Amino acid sequence: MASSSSSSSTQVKKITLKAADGKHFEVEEPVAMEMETVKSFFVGNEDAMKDMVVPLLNVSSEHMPAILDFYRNHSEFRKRTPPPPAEEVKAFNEAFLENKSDEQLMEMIMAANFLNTKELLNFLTEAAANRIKNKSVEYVRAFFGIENDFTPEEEARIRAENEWAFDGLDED
Amino acid sequence: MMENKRTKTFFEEMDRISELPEPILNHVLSFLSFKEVVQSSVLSKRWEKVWLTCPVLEFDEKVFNKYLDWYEYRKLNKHVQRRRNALFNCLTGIMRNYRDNVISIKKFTMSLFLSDDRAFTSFVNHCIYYAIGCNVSEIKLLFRFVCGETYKYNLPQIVLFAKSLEVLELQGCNVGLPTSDHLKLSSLRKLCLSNVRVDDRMIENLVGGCPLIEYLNFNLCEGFKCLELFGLTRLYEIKLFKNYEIEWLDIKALNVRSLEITRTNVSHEIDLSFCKNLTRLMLCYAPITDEWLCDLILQLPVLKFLSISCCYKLKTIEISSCCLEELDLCEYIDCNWIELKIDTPNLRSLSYRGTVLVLSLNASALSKINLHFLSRNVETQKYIKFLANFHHFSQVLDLEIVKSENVMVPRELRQTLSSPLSSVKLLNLRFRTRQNCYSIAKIVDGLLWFAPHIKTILIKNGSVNEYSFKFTYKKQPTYEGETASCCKSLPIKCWNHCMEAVNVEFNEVSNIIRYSLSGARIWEKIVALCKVWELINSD
Repeated sequence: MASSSSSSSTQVKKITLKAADGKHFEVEEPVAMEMETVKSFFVGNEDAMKDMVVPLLNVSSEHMPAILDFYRNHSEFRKRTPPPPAEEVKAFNEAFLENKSDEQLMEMIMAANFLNTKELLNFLTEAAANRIKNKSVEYVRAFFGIENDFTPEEEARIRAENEWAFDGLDED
Repeated sequence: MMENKRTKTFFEEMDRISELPEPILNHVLSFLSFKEVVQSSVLSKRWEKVWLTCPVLEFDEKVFNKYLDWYEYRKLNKHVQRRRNALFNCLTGIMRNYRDNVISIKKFTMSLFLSDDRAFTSFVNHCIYYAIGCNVSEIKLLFRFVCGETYKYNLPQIVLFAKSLEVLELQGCNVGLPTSDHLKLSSLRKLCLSNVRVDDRMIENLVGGCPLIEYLNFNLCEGFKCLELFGLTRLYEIKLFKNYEIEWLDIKALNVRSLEITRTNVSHEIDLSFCKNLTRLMLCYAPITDEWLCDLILQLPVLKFLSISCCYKLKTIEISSCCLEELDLCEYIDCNWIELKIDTPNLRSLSYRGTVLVLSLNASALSKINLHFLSRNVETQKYIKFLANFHHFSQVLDLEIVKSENVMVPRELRQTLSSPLSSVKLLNLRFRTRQNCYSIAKIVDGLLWFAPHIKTILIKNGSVNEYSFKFTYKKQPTYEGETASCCKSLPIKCWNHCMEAVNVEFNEVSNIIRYSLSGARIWEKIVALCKVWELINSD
């Protein structure tokens, strides 16, 4: 069993991806194809697979291992019958987010957007939403690194337009 | 090198969330409450307009907060009235903007306390019209009422003709029959009605007008006496909960996988034999009989999970199935079950709550057993006989009992009866309510008679106290160096002569201790340790 599985794994086609900072990653074809951006790179160009290096302009090598790990695990979850228990998926997702700073999370959202993978993007945007839930406007600005480009008058006008939403808000 | 440099600058430019395309920002917003969504408008100029296209709109109590306090508007406080109308105008304006700019809405939710108030219902109606105008695919209208109020919200008929609607969830609504032609919800996949009033004609129309329906959930609904489900080939899951007025129930849906029926007053025998693909069946407080159940199970070739609780007409429950993997039986107080006959070679998990009754069991694949005895006074012999059924089948047993005496078999009976759980390796014992005075050592002694040579005993008393014992045994029973004479004639050697070591862990509120005991007179050491522990924790 062990020998057959190792021989079959050597047969799995690998695709080389190049992160924004030039670092190369060898990735099994099915995992690479989870990313629509990589997939579309090969559309009508199937012969090129072996030696082509796919440049991923917007993904830093820092996040590549985690992102690939996500694809590997989630595609395995999807294939499994019966489907894995919710706790197992939850445990993986929680571990994935653990120790990720807000900035890292933002960078990964941008990477997921560039790679065009719905599942990862959904997951990360929900994680971002959870981090800003019940937080003040100032906190959210700091979280996303948003610069307030309103004049005090403009901001006051917008607040007045939907006065009810800013009622009794904690400023901390 | 050149390339590296270029990507660096690209990164710097992209370093802020605000640069992300609008759909992604909206995606982040769609996980927040509507109040927070609106607050995002003051973040920056970029964000000022983003929220206006957020595809998820959820008007809940947080939005209406002070403006809708029920007692306040009964008093017709002018100030509150004015602010409330301003809020209504503002929200209707937001929704009108969606419709005028053809912005699609994925999900529209309204969840709040409602009362018979004209201004308010007219506002709700307007919002619904706009949402449907935006091709909404999911509508949730969840209205709750102050206690004693019989009023329900009258659902606008337009909802029943919304072609884009895929999910409809209603709570506290009246659904009246359309005056014109038959309703048509051609995309509807999921329908949940809770505390909804619908009459017989309407329910017939409703179910018949949803050819793609996959999921039905009727909860505390009233107004209809008859529910007939047939010809719905995609119907996958049905939940019926406390719909007391239903008198006639007919389910002929071939592809239903999961069916739950809780508390029904249906007096006829429900025919489920048409649902050949049922894998999951739950019946609770259903007036079913022994014959009905026995026959039905024989007719369901792929049933994997069966749960029967509180079915008071049952006496002798006979379950014979080759496919069943999980069985959940709960007797409860009003019932008087007498016998269980279970013949299920592929059963993996069995859970039983109830009194000790006569059991015959054939379930060689059983690996998980959960027993929960409800009665306080258990007849010891009957109880041991019941437990002995599991002796061949499982190494793990969860046992929940009312009081500690239930596991303390008198000395004289131990001599004459044989241990009922001699193959069990892990036993989880749990007391339903916290026991205040009992001796841990006595319980362990009792359990060791039930399951000699057991590896692990876990005792849980209430929610915080846990005791664990992990035993190792010698191959040759010895007693102070000599082969113990008492073991020679017994098929299973006495545990107290074979025990080699035990790891004990006691966990009580904030105290935890761990001990490893071994050597001669090990049982005496365990007893002493338990006594000390009980003394420390007695106050």
